[in-house]
Amino acid sequence: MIKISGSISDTNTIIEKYPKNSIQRKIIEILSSSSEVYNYDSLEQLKFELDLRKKIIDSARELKKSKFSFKTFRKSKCNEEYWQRTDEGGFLLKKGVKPFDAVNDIYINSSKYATECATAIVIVYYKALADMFTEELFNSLFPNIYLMDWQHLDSNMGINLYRKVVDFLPGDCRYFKNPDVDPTKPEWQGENAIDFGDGSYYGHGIGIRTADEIIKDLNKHRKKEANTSAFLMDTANRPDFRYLANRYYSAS
Amino acid sequence: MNGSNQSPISSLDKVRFTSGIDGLKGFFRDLVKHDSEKAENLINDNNLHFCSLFVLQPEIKKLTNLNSRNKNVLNFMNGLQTRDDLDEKDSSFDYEQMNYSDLKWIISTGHFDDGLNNEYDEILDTTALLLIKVHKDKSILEILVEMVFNRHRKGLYFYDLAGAFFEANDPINILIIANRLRSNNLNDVELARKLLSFIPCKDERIKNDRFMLYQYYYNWVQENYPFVYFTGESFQQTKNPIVYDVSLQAKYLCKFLSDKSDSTLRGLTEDKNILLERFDKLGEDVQIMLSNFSYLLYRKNIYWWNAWIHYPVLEQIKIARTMIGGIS
Repeated sequence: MIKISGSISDTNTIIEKYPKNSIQRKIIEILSSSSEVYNYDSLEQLKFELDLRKKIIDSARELKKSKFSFKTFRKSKCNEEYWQRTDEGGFLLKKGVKPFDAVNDIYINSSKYATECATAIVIVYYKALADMFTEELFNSLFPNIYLMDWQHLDSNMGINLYRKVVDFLPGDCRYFKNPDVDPTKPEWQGENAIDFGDGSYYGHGIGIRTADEIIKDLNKHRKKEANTSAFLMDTANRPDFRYLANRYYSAS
Repeated sequence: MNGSNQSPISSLDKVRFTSGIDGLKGFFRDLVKHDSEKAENLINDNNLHFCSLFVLQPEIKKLTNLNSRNKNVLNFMNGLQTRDDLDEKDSSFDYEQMNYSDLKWIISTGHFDDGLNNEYDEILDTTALLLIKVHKDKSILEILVEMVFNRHRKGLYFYDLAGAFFEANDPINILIIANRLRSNNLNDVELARKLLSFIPCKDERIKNDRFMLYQYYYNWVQENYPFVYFTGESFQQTKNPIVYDVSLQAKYLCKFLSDKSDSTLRGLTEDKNILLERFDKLGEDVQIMLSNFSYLLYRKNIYWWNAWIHYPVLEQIKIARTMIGGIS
């Protein structure tokens, strides 16, 4: 159920604004038919979340199409015109470089970049926000980007891990866990993947695949005599959509 | 770092400590050229540190009479390096060729020089993961914590090692990390706070005082250790994973989790299953209160506890609320 300013919302008027089979429609259908209550301060706040989730999926698809490759942190690489590669394998925005340009460069000069799956997801989030916000707002919200899996996220992104999630939504970042991973391949311990809402997921290094296909891939990299299969956890990483919406509308 | 342990220092390590890595390489290169037998004796020394073997690899390959430790470790390193030349996500490596004592030698003598370079650190990471996950060796946990904190100070990658520590699934060792809250190095304090942020603490006064926080974590481990289990969350999944959690069900029934890997209780009697069904329907705050009270009563007087646990859940709550404060 969707509540806007405390009242149950008639979602038909919102649904009509989006084409049939669109991601946004699918999200509204899940939210409105759920037994959970989803509260928004305004219709604009809800609309922002729908559009940003769509942008997250678009950014994931675009990254998959690019030449951005998979490497562990120890062998990660980046375009040093925009980023400084740190000793732990992260990418720190260089002084004097605009965050907006640096994020877009990952998609333009993608062959110059390589890293692990969690950092790839964070890049997807930044790109989605760069496409959503004006250049000025993006640069002011994220002046000091450090790309290093989930560890150095800008607090303005507000990424949180939600546990025991009831409704999974397109644009969520899900996690496939591989508990019996081969100890010599820690990079296969799990896969962060963007949920496309149609049964497929984008995981960096694996590509766009169904859940079963991702699990099958992970299972190929288990220790000998493993007896536990990889599985999809009931968690989701999500940005703070409401906070970001408020920043978006207060700037425009 | 030179480092030392209880064993005598080998001749090659002495050269490395006094003349540096380049000095050692030059010394060994000359020795191989002029007296290969002596070179073999020195490299086969039982007291040799892994670091010296690692840096001398190209020269050692020219020697024929290596002991089994050196042969195994060179093969192991070669396997990992070959794997890196392949596409990283499509490679395989037979780790079973490595026996426990050789792995233990790598980590126990190699950790003194952790941070040497990426390739060296990666070998230590893989070795630690094999010792923990395949050989279930928990004796290296203190070394792992030392390496994790040293790397954090230097800004090096440490998450695989930290993950290996938690996967050892031995919550009592949380205290090794908690000890770092008392360190004079504020970097260590910051990392200890981060790694242990899964332990719930709502009191801001305690959170802001690292010494009080240490005591709080110490008490939390003592209180909950029998009911703590590994959740499987990792740093690859989130910034602050809840790596260990308390099974409130187990604490409520005072059933110790022997394998520490699963919060699900099995083989319970029918009346215990009924109790749990009702317990599960309670709000989380009430579950926490009831499970804390149950374990407290269990330790104070098992006969009282046995009588109390057989009351209906609502009656249990009433008694618990009345008695809290009276038996602590």
